[in-house]
Amino acid sequence: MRYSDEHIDQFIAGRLSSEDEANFKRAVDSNEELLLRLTERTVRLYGQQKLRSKLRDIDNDLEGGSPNRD
Amino acid sequence: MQVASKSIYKPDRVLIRAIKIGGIPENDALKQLYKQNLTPVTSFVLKNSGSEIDAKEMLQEAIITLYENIKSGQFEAKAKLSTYLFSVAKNKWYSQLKRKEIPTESPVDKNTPNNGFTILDQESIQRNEWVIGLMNHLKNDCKEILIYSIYQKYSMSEIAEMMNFKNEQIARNKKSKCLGYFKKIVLDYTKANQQIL
Repeated sequence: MRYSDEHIDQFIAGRLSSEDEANFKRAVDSNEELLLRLTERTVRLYGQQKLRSKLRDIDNDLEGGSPNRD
Repeated sequence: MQVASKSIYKPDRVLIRAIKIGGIPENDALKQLYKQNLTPVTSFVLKNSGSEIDAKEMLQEAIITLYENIKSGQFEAKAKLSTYLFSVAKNKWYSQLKRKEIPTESPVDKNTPNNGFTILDQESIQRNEWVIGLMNHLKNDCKEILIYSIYQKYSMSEIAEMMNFKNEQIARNKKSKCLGYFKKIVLDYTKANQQIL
């Protein structure tokens, strides 16, 4: 079975049913390509988290009213 | 009394270039995009049943979408960046409103847009736990090279330069080693959770 990117996201977000989740985990164990996609998706989500955190810092700076920094 | 020192925003092409380059120019570009677009996005979200916090989240998610499209070379500057960001934020907010109507006990929603993962609480927590739980196993240099390559889509020669490697091949070897190690961590983590089920 070819898992979609959406399916991988649903697994990471804990949105699969117990049965689907168990099947997905077994598939990761036996499918090198799926393991690579799951790994790369994890890195991308981490990259997003870092960027989101940077944007929140920008917001905090604005809220803090750092005067005329530009 | 108004002060005459209103800041001058950089044009879109400069911002796009800055995001492609990364580093300090990228940080400045992100800051400008955030400042420039916060008011219109906030007005829209407030008028559509949201709060200021919702508005900030939507803008942040829209900037992330723009950033990823620029980094991957998929962004086509057909409209102004402000128009693009407003449109993405608006769609994300509508999508959020729609999803909030779906009961949490419902089965997997096949119609959820691929880029629709933003806030929704429990899912976000679960996702963050997954990501942090795994990434914490990596040393900083491995995190860095994997993000540069996989998320920010830099070429191996660019990575070699950014990370002070002697050449592209060394960067390639380092990435391969880090990726191989991380795949093993992901597999072990998945297996460990499987036994619990």
